[in-house]
Amino acid sequence: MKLKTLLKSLGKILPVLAIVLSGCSSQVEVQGSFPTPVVGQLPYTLGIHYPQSFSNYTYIENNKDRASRTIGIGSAQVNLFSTVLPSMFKKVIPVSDINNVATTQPVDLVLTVDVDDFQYTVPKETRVDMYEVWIKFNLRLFDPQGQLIADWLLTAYGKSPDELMQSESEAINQAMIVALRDAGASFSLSFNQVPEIRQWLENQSSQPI
Amino acid sequence: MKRQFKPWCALFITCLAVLMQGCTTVTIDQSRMTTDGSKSELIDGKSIVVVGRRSGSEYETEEELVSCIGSVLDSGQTKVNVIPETTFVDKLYPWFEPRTAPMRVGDLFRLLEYQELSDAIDEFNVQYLVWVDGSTQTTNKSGQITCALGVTGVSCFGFGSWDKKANYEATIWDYNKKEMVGKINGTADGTSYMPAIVVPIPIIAPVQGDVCKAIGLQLRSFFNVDKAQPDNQAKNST
Repeated sequence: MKLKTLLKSLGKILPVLAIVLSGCSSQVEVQGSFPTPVVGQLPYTLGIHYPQSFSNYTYIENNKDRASRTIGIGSAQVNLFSTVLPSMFKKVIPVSDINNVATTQPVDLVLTVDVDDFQYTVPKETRVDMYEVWIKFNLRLFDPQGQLIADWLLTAYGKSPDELMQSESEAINQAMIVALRDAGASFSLSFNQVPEIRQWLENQSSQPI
Repeated sequence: MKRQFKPWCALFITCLAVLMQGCTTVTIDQSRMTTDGSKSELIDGKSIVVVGRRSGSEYETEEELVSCIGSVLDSGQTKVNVIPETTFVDKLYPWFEPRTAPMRVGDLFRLLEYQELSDAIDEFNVQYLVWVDGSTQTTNKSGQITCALGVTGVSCFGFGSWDKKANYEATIWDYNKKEMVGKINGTADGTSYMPAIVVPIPIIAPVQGDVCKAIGLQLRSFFNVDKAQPDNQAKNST
């Protein structure tokens, strides 16, 4: 009889305990959609190469002072660039091997992108009611012969308020979407302003067709 | 057997409903800034877009507040075509993002030199752009509620209260005249309570909801949508 009562009590307590313990770690696979930018289109064919380290990028928290978190960003950032690039270039072709583009694909430029750094903060750490994320991308642009044209960094920032009835995963996902939108905005508006790219574009426009 | 209507029962429910809501004080200030002194009237068929400013580092203008103002603006007898914030911002991506949105009216009209953006905005048939900037913050917390987990379940005891302050500014740009035509400042203060005797009973002061309603109604008055409403500085207390 006593065992039965104990089991009943455990049945009530265990689900609550499971909820409490799940608050100590979180796993986020960032999901969201991105709008097509209203920007001028360059009359060039771009080859885009997403390295494995970019398309499968997952941040795993290793700091023992912080709660265990895993944030998967890879598919969301591929989704972002796959939406933004076709509105910036006449044609976009996926490139699997960056060292062998000239012989396989008729492209004018080849872009490769990778994550250089990723950071985040949660409200408990900053005493600001915000989840914040920072991403630093490293972008490299090549000509079809594999000659480097430009190598530059792009930083993006996103934040999401700490709201009642919203889980930490949802808040981090929301902050990530804001950061990726910021990356897309910054990339599409500043691409022509990178000095080496501007130089390349000027050289192209001065050449007789 | 026919049930008898009990007036005391209805009175009790009404009193409970009133008591369950905390009190809020709302203040609204409006200023017009037209260069020619004309009033801002919404032309039939034209639209208004309400957009939140998200460039502040320590706060964020809440999406639901912006959406709420839009709903109040469109809630009277005379319908107002209010474009949802996300529709407008997504369609004009990347020009209205937190870091790229024009801060001054002159900045917007410089952007419009870019024809594709200008065409995209024209599709919305916008007459007024309302920028909402601000947030609702918890300013003070006091009291303590203790909850214990037992075999019979969770039970709580104690009392907690917290103050909230909402502070928003709506800046109105006339898209046709290419100028800022007015500002509406809305502030609201309220205290919420949570007594707990076994079960916590939240008595929430709807600070954000009240300031949203006040700004939305003042915007209707600003645009002279409801012709009968007075259009001067207003101060409301609820």
